[in-house]
Amino acid sequence: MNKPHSAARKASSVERGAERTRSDPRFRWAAEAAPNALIMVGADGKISYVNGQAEKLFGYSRKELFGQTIELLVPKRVREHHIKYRQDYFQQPTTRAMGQGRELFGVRKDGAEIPVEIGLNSITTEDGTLVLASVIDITERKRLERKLAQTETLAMVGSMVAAVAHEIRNPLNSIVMAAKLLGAGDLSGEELDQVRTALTNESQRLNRTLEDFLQFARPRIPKKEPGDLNALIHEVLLAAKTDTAVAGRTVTKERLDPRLPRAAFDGDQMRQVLWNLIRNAFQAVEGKGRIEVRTEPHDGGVTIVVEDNGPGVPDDQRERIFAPFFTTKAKGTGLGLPICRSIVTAHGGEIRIDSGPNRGTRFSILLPL
Amino acid sequence: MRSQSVLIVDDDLAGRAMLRISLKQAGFDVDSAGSAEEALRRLQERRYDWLLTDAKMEPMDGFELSRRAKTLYPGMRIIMTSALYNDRDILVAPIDRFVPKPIRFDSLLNAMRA
Ligand SMILES: Nc1ncnc2c1ncn2[C@@H]1O[C@H](COP(=O)(O)OP(=O)(O)OP(=O)(O)O)[C@@H](O)[C@H]1O
Ligand SMILES: [Mg+2]
Repeated sequence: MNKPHSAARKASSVERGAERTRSDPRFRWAAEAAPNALIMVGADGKISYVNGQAEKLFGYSRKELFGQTIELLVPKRVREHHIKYRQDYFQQPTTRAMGQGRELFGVRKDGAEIPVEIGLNSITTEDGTLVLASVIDITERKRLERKLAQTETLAMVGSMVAAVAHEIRNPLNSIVMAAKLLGAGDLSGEELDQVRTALTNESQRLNRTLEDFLQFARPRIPKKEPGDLNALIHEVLLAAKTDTAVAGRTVTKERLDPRLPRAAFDGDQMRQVLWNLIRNAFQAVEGKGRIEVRTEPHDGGVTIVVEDNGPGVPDDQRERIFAPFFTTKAKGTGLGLPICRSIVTAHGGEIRIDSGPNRGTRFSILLPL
Repeated sequence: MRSQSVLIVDDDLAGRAMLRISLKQAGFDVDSAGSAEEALRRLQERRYDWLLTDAKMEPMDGFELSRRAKTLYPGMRIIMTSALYNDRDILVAPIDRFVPKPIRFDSLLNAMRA
């Protein structure tokens, strides 16, 4: 029977504390000058002070707000949660931002919701704790963010369209001409061979391009199985060396650790990753440098290193090279590295680059077991 | 009448081959080169009526090749082809015709016979 009474007494003493604080002319002066909406709340959730900015932001007058619980300004769907949050906060009233990355909203008198950011401060008076919430309207910032994201998407679609056009029109060009030639008749045996080869190779090339785009646009979940990474690496390096278009007189070296633990990976996807990295390395040394591929165990995983002594990547491009469609090659699509990164990440791994002008380039893939 | 001669420049192997066979079929005297550098060497060896070059090549691209070729051999006519282009580059390039890829062979022939 005693309890409600003492709670009431405590509440009223907090109110007196609030009264003292908010009638302190220095506090009022500072609060009214603040650019943010300020709302002071007691442990019972009752509003005991608001500044002019808060009146403006929420559309209520001070009179209307005094004595109301703070949940009046919180969207209905999160009110329950808010009450609990508030009670917890008073247990440990530290200065912090509210929401921890969640989007927060306030409700105006007219019912409109506004995106806000809220900072919480506690003020301890002799009679109890008060919380001062500082509220910032971030409507404009959100609008700008959306616009920026939209612009970025558009720019990306733009480069995607350009890349698709380029990658598709060239093989298509050969196929269209080859088909026409097949109908023309009087070709020599050698010419007929060339026409047939063009039809097969170029349609395969179209399909590969399409697969690259799909892998990028809709990455497949890896089908992981324990396998022999060293064998796969050896196979890909061999294929690259025999690809006369890039190999030239490049010197290659394999240092594959035979004690490498068996990691689980998606063979097709890892082959693509290795192929992209090794092809980049061959392209970087332009047929006259050195390439080394290594494997080694590391804490709880395996590391694959592809290293070349080519021109390296300039400092300001080290992150950009992973962006889709970033390429410095006349015939590049700029999808090689983004695909590598998305596959390696889907494996729970990580891809790192160590490079600088004239230092060569080292890509490391860290895979968990 | 002597048949018209043309030098095809494209680093795309299949595209180059198909163009070479097609133009030969149409009665042209055809040579081809896989890069702008190789094309410049060929041009030193003999004269051509036409230079038919792709725009995007490495290290020298079709635009640079056209500029040099126009200065060295002003009488030779230049046709540029490309799968991807922006109109401004083409407007300012010293070329006589532009034909987009995929090439419509009829319009290419029309361009060369006009
Ligand atoms: N080993 C390397 N040495 C120097 N630069 C590199 C190396 N690997 C990648 N780069 C740089 O990163 C860019 C992007 O590489 P990425 O593999 O994503 O695309 P690309 O090789 O240009 O084209 P694609 O792989 O689609 O044919 C390259 O254009 C190049 O500038
Ligand atoms: Mg690449």
